[in-house]
Amino acid sequence: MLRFLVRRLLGVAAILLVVSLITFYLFFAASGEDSVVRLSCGKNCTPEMRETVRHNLGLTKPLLEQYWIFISGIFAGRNIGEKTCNFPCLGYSFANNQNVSHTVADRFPTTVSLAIGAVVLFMTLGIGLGILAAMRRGKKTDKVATGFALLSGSAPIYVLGPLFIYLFVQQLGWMDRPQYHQFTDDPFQWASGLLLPWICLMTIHMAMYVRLTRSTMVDVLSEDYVRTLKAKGLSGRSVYIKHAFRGALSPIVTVLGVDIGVLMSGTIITESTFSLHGIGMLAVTSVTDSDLPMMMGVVVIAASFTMLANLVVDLLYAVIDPRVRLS
Amino acid sequence: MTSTGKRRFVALFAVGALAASASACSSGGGDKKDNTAKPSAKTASVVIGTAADSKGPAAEVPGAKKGGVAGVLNRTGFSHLDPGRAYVSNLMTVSELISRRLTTYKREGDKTTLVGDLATDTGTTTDGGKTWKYTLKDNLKYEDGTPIVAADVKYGVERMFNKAWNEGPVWIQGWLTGSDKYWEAYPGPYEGAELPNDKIEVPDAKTIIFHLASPQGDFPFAAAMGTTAPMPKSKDTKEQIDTKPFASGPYKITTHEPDKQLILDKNPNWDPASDSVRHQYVDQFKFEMGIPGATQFQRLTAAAGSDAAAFTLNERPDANFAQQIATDPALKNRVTDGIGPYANRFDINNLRITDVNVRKAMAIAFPRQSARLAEGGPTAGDFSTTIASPTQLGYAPYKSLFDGLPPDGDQAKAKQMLEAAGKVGQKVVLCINTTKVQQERALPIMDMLGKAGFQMERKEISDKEYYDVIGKLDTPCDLYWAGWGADWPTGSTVYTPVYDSRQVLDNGQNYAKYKNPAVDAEIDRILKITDTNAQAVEWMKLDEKIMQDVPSIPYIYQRHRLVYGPQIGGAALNSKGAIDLNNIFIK
Repeated sequence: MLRFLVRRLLGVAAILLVVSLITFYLFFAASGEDSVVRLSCGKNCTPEMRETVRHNLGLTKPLLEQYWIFISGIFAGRNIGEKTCNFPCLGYSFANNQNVSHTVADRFPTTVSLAIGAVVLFMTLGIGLGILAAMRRGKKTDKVATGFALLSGSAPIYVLGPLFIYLFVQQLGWMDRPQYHQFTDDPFQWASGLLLPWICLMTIHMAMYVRLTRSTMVDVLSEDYVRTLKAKGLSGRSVYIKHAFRGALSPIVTVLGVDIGVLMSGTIITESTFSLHGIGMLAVTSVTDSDLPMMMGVVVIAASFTMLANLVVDLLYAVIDPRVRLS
Repeated sequence: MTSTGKRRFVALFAVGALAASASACSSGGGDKKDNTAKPSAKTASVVIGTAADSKGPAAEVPGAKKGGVAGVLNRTGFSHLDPGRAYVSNLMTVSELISRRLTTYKREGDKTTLVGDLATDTGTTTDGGKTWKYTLKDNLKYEDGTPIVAADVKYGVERMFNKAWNEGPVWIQGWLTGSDKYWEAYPGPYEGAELPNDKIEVPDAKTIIFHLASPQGDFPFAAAMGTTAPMPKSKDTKEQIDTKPFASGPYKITTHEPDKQLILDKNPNWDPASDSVRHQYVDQFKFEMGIPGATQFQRLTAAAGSDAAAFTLNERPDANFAQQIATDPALKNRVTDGIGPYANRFDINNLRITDVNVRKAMAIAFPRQSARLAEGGPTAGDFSTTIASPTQLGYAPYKSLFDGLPPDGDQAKAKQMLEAAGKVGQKVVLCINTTKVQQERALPIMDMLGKAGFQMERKEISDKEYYDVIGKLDTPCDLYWAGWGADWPTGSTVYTPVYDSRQVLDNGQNYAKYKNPAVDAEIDRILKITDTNAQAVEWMKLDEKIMQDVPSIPYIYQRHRLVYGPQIGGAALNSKGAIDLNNIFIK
């Protein structure tokens, strides 16, 4: 297990290094020095500020040296001109006068909160309906569940979000406009403030889990060992949940890993629709503000969380399915 | 000043206060029957106030209550809150609430007065405007309770000599040194030197004297900009001031998360008796940033929950929402209505279209009404006929090329003019950016100018490069949109940067590339007039003279219809085309 973990972690580190190198090359080399300065300086940049940025970014140094400074800075911190950028230094936003890592850390709780709530809801409902549909295959329950999944999965967030706001906030007044509150300040406000985006994300993501769970469960339920379990007189709950569902879980976890990675990287449309300042909104702002260091930081963070989510999925395989050996 | 955040514009904002008071502009609404060619907004004069006008406290706003949280929605983050670096309308509006300066504008109903802010009056001069003396009021304090002294005002000005921070107003720096390259005369305080006494003198804690290189009658207006905001040396955190300035106004920053939110709480050390302009009605201003214009409008029209006590800082409605404002009577009562400092126009590249008769034909064929429909019709603004905005001191419309013309131009007449000039088939490259408004506006312009005999070509430029491209001397564009808002309500900050041939430079602001030595000479002559009112009359004469050459096609005087929630009281337009934060209260 430990050997597997170390090997996978090294793999993740290697991939992240490649991603960061490609991103760094695309941003800092392929676009040319003038573009880098212009983009790093932000929209409101004077020629004098450009010179400062040029100096602070060390653009006169060889590209590989610049990359090394960027990577080593993440672990050891660095000075960017007169600014001190401590561990983990992802760069300095000249547009905002802030360390990129500070801004990312500030925005991250919103994105994580959005992801956690959405995952809990769409997993619970999606898997629940999927199991139910599989158990009642061909019956009314099955048709309603799959039909509902089809319908909900067809609605894009940019339609569903404004519609929900119009209905639940503006017309019915059941909820306040979505807002992020810190969990530690008030867990109830935290949940109620994010309920609407959670419901939106749940509605959209749930469809896949209903259909995936149903189809894999149907396959597993036709396996010999399930028939044997039923013949041995095990209760329905034990057969469906403890044994059959466990057998159907691997593909669900695989998809979940990808989804969590995407959600943690920032749900751009969801955050924009609900005006939530998470990583997704940060990505949008950094692009519209031409804030290159911020863009770079967001890409590295997004890639890291996608990789991390996939690593967790790999580890979960062994827990879910004893046939998988982590070696 | 630009309303859009495009910087490098050295222009400022006009005292559109007069405009703010303008009650009803044109017919209102996003209809398709707008054919008014003249501005219907009232134009009030800005007066230079007395010491009595400058005395606090400010007159109470009728019906105002204390308490509550006011939400403010803004499309972008606040890139500069350092008072000396804030130079676009939303930034200046917020900055003025946090940072006081030597003078400021007081708006009372239809009347706008330039008054002393930190100073007891708008300044005194004994030598025709070369030396300006200010005395600070009593009991002026920063947010930490320490007193504001004249040396802090001097240091605040000195900071703005830092060459790297020249995105802010640079009038005073230039006037003190007599050079556009003021940083060569004095590089700012960070290299250890102070401005000598022959530039700024501080004889005691309450007196500051500016010794300019040449007489400047407009100095009291320039002193209303953030350049004169005080800064104690010990509190100077350089770039960090830009995100969290040290407050001297009624509100201080408690939280600023760039691009996300800004929270202003009451400054307990601000003394209302020292301030004739600002109030401290709400407990807190909570700014939300990154809210797209359409979302702002949707939220504020619905006014659900906390949005009932919120308002947009300066977001004008697009064509769809303009229609909603026009047709929803309830909404009409919670929308500002006035002309701001921006006079928008289409510039003609005078280096490429050199024949004045061809330029005249372009103006005559230009479909102003159809072009304006893309912005929502009359809600976007009244048709303009002058370079000056109605907010400019001394504004007076004159007989123009557009008198008697149909609102969508006269293409037949234009064609006759082209034929007479022997220029039928004249190629015109219309440059537009990728915004929806410009894209939609291009269609009727291409069509109508085409009908008049021009060979139209359309060139698209990315939003980010738009001003760079049209600003180049060898730009491939012949016709392009441009707007201008004066820093203060006189012509000094309009004609000098925009129509002086000495500004025909790569990336200069004379986008029309207009060159007329007689106009340059006239600009120089008028600038020497130190009587502001006499000067204002001359600026309007110059306006007419310039327009005889048709370097640009005046388009609209920008109208600002800004929505606020039903619980917001005291909302009105300020001189920068944003909602005035000084009088806001929660009903």
